Amino acid sequence: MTPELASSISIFVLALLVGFEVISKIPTTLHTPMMSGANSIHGVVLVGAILVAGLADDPLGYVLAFLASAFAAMNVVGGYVVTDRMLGMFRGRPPSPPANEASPSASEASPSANEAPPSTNGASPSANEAPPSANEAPPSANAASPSANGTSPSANGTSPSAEASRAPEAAGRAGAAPGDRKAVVADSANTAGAERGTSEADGSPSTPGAAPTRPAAGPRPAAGSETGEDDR
Amino acid sequence: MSATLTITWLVYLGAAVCFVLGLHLMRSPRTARRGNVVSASGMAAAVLVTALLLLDEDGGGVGWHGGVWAGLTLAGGIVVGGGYGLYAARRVRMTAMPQLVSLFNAVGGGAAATVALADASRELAAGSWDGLPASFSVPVALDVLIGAVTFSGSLVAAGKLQGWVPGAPITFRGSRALALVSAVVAVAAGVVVAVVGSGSSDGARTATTVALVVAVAAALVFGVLMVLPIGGADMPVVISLLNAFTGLAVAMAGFVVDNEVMIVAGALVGASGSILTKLMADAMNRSVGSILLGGFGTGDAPSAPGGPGAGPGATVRTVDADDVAIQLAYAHRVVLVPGYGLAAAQAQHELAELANLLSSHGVAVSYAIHPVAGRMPGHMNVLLAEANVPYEQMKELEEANAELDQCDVALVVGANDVTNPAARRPGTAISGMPILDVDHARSVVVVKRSMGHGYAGIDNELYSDPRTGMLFADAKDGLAQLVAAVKEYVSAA
Repeated sequence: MTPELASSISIFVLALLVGFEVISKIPTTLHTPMMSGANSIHGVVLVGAILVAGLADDPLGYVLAFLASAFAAMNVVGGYVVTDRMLGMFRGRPPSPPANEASPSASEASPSANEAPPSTNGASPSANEAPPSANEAPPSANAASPSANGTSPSANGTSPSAEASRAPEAAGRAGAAPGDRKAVVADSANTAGAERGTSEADGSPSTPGAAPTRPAAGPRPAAGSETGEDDR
Repeated sequence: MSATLTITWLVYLGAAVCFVLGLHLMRSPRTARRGNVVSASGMAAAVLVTALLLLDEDGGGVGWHGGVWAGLTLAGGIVVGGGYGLYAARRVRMTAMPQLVSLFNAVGGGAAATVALADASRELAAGSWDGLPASFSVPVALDVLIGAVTFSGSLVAAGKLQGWVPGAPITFRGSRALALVSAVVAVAAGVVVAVVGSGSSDGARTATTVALVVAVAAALVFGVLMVLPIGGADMPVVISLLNAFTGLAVAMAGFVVDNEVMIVAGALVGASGSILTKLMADAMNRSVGSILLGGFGTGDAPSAPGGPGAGPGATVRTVDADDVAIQLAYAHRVVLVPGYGLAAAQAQHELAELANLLSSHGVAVSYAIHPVAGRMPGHMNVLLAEANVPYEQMKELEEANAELDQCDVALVVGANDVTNPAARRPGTAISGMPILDVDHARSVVVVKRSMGHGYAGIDNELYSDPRTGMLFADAKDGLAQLVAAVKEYVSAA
């Protein structure tokens, strides 16, 4: 046995032990991303594929080098990208506390800004309610286009003016503003997520009706933040 | 040591550190993404510095022997493979992600086996022949065997999850015997490569070549036959196991081409993959052995009969969407219990919509997530995160059970065995498995396509509980009905 082989075997065994140790305590939430992450690490076989390609000098060698490098590159590139995508979905959470703070202020404000009696909502309540309070878009424009694109900007349009009238704590305002801007971006991009924007918009104005019976638990999901994330 | 070798060695060392740190950072949701980036940068550095070895043969590198053709094959391979990997990884729907991971795992194993084949075929075709040293032939044999099994096995696993191969266990007359034969042949051929390969005669050279080909073929057959008889619900464990196998194959490929970073990374994945496999199997109350052997018809004993009143004739109460909508809207606390059926129907957006609707109506909503809900451990969290469910609303087992004790309505969507109270009693197929205490809720609604059995193949006593209402529908349709009904109720109120 050569010294090189002996040291390689030592490295192998020690790396095994590190592998056992490093992964022993993981929340189940992360099992799938972890598996995907480990999966991309063994894409290091691309290094081996490059080495055999350097040594290849006959047709069989070329074919095998092509296969090895294609397989390995797919493993390593795809593995890291898909892991990043998975983990990126978890990362959306930290900004949510400020966004959630913003939502009560925005949505509490909307009933107060409404002089009109709250309930009596038809199929697209937000389209009917939001414009009078916001004093921005003519109501007819919204009524004419009850589509997702028509409704949600108007629903979001409520909050800036409503905030100005209520003047909640600064943190809430700071959180709401980017959320609204993002929502407008999402709408102009006309993404599929706009459908959800509608449902949010439908949901929040229902609060005036529900507010007398359930005053404490305001609408938790922030209409602004939810639509804002759709553009991803 | 030449400058080239020193630089390469240093970068490889740094890459190995990055892999370990990356895995370490991935243990917490907060740092996981950074961990992946750290690991990817180590990988990029290791791949780039390997080019140095190609350019500097005099300094101890491998050099470049094939000229322009070899360059074209390498560049073409990287562009084709990397391009497809990038495309698939960016375009895949999150519900189809497990099979993509399995596919990436398959090609990783295939690449490891191909590297060994390429190196061995060059040795076997060389002008002078005086036998292969054991330090070369043994890792070649192991690499080819493990890599080929992983390749075909992972492809079948991906096909099962994708629906190209039926998810139910597949057996045919003699399949078990054929699997055993192919395993024996593969191992025997591997031994021939390792033993006869060291002979210096021309006969030994031919025998080694033939044995190598036989080993690949038999290992490919065995990989297929190993995974075919395993049911779709066990696929996550199988994929994780094959992932660990690939790690070992890559480490063996590292021995073949004498490359430390491959040995380190391969061993790291081999070990961590085994632990992960065990954790997953534990969460399902199965042993890895019984999953694999189960495929051969020895593991799954017929399950014990259900408890009192849970027989096939047990009466269940069916409800319709309008009843459920009113029940949900009047509740103070609702716990949603998503399961495999939700993942299969890709209904996470409908569930999130329902939850948002309810919480905007003042209902406290949370999600109870069993460790093995979905198609892989942790998969449900990813799916719900995709539907923009706030992280804080997802409760893991213990926390979820505390909430279930106090909730008014537990809405079970496509989950079966993980809610079966029979697991608390000894003597059933799922005894001892940690479950969600859905039966502790004041009332229960189950959205499910039929009274069909879950993976464990036993009746769920929860369904015949008088407090349980069954809404028979596909998860997606059922939730869409509920959303419509709740909306109508809310707007009418």
